[in-house]
Amino acid sequence: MSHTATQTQEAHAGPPASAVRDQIDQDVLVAMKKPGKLFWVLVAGCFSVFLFGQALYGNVLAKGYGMLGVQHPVSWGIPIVDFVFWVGIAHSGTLISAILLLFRAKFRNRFNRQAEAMTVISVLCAGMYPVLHTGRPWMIFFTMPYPTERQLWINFRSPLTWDVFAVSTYLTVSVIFFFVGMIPDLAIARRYSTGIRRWIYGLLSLGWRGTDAQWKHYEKLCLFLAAFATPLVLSVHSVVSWDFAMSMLPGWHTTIFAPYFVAGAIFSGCGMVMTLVIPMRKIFRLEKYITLDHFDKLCKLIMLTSMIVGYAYLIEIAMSRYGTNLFERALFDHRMGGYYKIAFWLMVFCNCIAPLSLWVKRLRRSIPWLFVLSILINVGMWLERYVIVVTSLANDFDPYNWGYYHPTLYDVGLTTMNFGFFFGMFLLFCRFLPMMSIMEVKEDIK
Amino acid sequence: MSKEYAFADEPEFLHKAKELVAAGVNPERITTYTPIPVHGLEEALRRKSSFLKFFTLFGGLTGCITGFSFTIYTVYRWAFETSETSWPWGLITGGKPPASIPAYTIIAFELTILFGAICTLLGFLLLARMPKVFSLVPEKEYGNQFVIVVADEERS
Repeated sequence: MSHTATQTQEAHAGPPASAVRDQIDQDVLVAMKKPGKLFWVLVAGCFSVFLFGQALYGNVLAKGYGMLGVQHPVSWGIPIVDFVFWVGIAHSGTLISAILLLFRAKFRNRFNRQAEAMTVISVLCAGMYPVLHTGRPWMIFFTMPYPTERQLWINFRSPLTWDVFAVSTYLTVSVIFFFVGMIPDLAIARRYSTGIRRWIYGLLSLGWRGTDAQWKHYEKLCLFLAAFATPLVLSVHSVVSWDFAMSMLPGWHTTIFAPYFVAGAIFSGCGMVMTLVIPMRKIFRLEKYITLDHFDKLCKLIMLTSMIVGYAYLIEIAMSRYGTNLFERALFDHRMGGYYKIAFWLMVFCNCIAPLSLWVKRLRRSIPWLFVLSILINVGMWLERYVIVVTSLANDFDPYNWGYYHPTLYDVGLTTMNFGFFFGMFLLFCRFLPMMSIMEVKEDIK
Repeated sequence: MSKEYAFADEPEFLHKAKELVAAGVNPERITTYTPIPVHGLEEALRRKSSFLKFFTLFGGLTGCITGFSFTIYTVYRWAFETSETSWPWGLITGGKPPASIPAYTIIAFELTILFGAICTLLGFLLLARMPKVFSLVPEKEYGNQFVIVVADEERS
């Protein structure tokens, strides 16, 4: 029989530290209270967009791939554009949570949970497109490494096979990272909930108590996972870029593609984080935690990556101008002045010129402008992938082989579909999981 | 007789932990419950550093070796399975060496990370004794307090 003697010492005058921490718990978990009608209307709206897209998807499968705009010579159309776009969005989640953790950039702890959720959801979005793009999704197991009946294995030299490995590893590791980061916060959610929800959060938190032994291993776990995720995030988009760069096509066959794609991915992802966090901060009144200073720092990351992307555009053009490759030069003439010039110049405006406004401190701290800019960045980065994928295929070596690409309404529907999925899933995430890293905010505020 | 000391804030908590150990309480008997990780607690309680790194190393190395050996096996498997011993082995495509190490490096790299991350997670669950099936929903929780529990003499 053990007898418990409790000694409580009040720390000091003013609000005790534990009360401040209780307040943080309450403020962050506010979204997990019973939501209003508007929430369910929004979720239903998002998922009906997704379901409509799924119906189109089914129609494409039933009637054939010709329902989409892809045809000779542009055989990689909007689905591949969307795939690269969503994989890119995923990247800044890992950047914010892993790379900035290793760099000890404190501002990350206000964005990392949302960014990690964004990563997981957008990798799921990305996965839908290559599956469709195989033309026969039920044959997708062909990409798995196993020997065929004639004892041949898949070709491990192919960038597309690397992609299968890279993206599936990325999905697994980002799910692990997302889940592990949430364990202490799920225990907090468990403490504040009752009934069946208490059991569900208890199950998800794996019985976390916050003992010294648990924390000791947990801290190491986060560090090692961050150390794994950092090279992973750089490798995944490099591999995606090699899908293009390993071919001989003008406009694709360049060595700068890997760093250029990685910077672009982080740029677009930071834009998407802003698009998500700005309304979230407003709705759940998190202004106290996600301050203008935090946005200011995120803006500086956007400025950096925007300039890298702009530099890569310039280098590409310069190489085509100063190089001896006629095809490369002709292609860039087409890109800048041909049929797709509107997409190209809109891309330059959104990705290179509009973010220059962030040099002005007032604009870096103006939430409405940041929201507008984040939308522009999303549009710009989608267009970047469009310009890269479509123009190179449309105007390759032989003028006799040239053609134009026109997306059909099916392409538009399939693109819109995953925005519905993405925002719907994000809303559900805010409702059911702790939407900000409570533990890390406490650690920061102490 | 187990004793509990609860504190609202970290410095007093850490101070008490050090005091207890200095007073001759066996650190093995002390368990703490904290809302955030407390730096310096490990030293105060004379804990050994986490063994987790070896799981990470093991997983990473396994992944790397698997990546290379698996891809190389797939091109040389005919040579392994038949009695053919003369060079060149394997199925030659495009006149290139059957095993293309630069290309396989990417597969090995991804598997290093995949196996490493999974192994680290499993190692964590093993070392931290999680999931704790019988305390999924604990009866007593300390919330945002920093708590030191000193277990009874006999149980230690």
